[in-house]
Amino acid sequence: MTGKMRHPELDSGSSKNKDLWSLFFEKVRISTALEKKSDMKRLVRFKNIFSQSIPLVYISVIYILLYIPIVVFIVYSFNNATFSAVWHGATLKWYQTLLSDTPILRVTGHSLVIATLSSTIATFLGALASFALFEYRFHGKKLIFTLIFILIVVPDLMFGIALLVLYTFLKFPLGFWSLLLAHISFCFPFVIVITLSRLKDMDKNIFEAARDLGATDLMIFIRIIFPLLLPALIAGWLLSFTLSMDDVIISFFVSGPTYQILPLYIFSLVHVGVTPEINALCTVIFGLTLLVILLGLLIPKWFFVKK
Amino acid sequence: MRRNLIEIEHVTKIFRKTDKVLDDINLNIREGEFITLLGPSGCGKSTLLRLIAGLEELTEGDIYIDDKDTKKIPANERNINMVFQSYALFPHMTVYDNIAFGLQCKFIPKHDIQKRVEEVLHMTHLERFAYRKPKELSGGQQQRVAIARAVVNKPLALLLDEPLSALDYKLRKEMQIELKNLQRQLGITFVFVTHDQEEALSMSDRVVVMNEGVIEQIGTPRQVYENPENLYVAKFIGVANIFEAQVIKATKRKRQFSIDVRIEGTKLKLKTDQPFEKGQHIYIVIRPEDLRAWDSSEIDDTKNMIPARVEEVIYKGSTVDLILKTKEGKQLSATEFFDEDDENLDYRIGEKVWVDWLPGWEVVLIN
Repeated sequence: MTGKMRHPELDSGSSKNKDLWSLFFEKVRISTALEKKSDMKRLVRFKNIFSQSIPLVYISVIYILLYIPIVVFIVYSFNNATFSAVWHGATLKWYQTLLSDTPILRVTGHSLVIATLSSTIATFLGALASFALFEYRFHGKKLIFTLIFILIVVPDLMFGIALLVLYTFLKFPLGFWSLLLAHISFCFPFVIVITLSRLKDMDKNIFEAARDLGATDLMIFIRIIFPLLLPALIAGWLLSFTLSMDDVIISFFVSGPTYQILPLYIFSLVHVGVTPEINALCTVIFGLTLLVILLGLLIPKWFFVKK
Repeated sequence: MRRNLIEIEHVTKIFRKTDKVLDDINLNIREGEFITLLGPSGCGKSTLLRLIAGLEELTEGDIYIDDKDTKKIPANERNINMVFQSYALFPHMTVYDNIAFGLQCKFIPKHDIQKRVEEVLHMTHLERFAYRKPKELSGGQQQRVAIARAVVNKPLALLLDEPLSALDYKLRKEMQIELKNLQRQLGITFVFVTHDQEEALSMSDRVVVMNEGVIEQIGTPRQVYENPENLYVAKFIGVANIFEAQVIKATKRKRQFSIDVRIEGTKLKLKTDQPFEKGQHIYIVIRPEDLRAWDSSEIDDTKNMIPARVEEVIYKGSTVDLILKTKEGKQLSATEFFDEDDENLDYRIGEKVWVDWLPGWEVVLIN
């Protein structure tokens, strides 16, 4: 980098910064000089404890703020009261109600089916698309890439309305299929972004090396690309699954009375009041999520590390 | 003369319709030889290698491998393997699996695969690392895996694309010797690509000097160093002192040609093996180690010598390198050896010296 190339404003900005820094160091120098007179050791020790504990406190505060709502939520699933925010003693009755509440179990099942199917299909399609974007040179590649990014940043509200308009235009009945297609299409770009970044990290020569060593395209895919892409595929699938599980806005527009899903069901309950039964349900889902994450962390270790 | 294993005929490669990387290349690679494609980056040497491997498509021309036209043979069916500059090891496989990959692709029985992989692991001193992943190895070890992965397939030829450029100096020297030994041991044809002329000279049976998509010269290391065919080769390989001159007089006696030229103010008579015309513009190339620098007390007759002044003295242990400047301001470099003739190479900066060389050690070129 040459100094000449720099923008004059940027330059002056950095020199201003430099002035500030030098001023700061000047102050530090003066203060340390003063400290020498006082009990240095004690001060240094105090400073160390102080500087070490600040990050700890900071991180703790952030995590507490993030997790308090979830903890409160879980605790209240055991509250022995219907609408109260006051603690009335512990009970498991909401879990019992949950188990016998067929509508809620049914919509949960629906959500799981939609999430599983849409994330699986989106992962499959996304993997193919990202491989095409990575490996081949064709016209409009940049345009396609940009369009995918636009899909990520487009507001859900617009996405939902647009799909609804499309479905009405095509006279496509709202229900299971309309939901599934919508979920696939909003998960798809996320999968592409994840797998594409993984592909870009790979040395392109390894595919050529494999071909040079006598591998057919199929062998290259099975033995090289797929295993290397697997972590990205798993990550893409999990992200799609969670996106699909808790989507309200898009689903609101594209679902019909024939096929209800969980987030919308809970959302509709808000009007009549949320009972701790929902807390219980969400606690169960939270527990399952933790389990999945734990497995996600452990499975690669079991599979890929052998000594 | 051994038979030709790879025949490259009129090969031209054009990228993106306009970018001509190779222009009418003709080259025969013989069975069992160590041939090096040498040239600066961007001269097309790697592209030529990739064409042989089948990783690029020919624009024009033909490549025959083992007398078979390669146009219809895809890369995975050519019995030729490549060692990539970046090694291109499979990061998710162990060293063992990396090496076994090529054999597995050919559906060779598991028992034979094990035998052959172990053999190659032994040959490349990698037994201890068989179950490590590539990233757990050093650069030199990764390099060995890349070579082992290729030679285990017993290819007709091994193509090496600047395989040593990522290694540090000392390791590179070691790997050069090891590669050369491996080649002798296996008897496989090695096609080696490098931009390092020293590497090319020290390892190869033949060197192909390339520049901007064309071959400048093909010859043994000694031929390309001592008898460069043109100025480009003379300049690219080693250090060369080049004098521009005009033929003053051209004579022919029986089959001996000789010319009179004036170099840096000194008139010289040179013998050549080809005819020149009077007034022709020529270049005279002389290597630093062939240039002798005398101080005025050592000689009496300075008639055929070029006067110069010592600019710089660089002591190198076994030799002394001199930077000289002639009256007309031309810089020359001369390497003087310590030997019986000249035991104390005592040059002072600014000292006046007389420069000459043994007649016939120069190379006369026209372009």
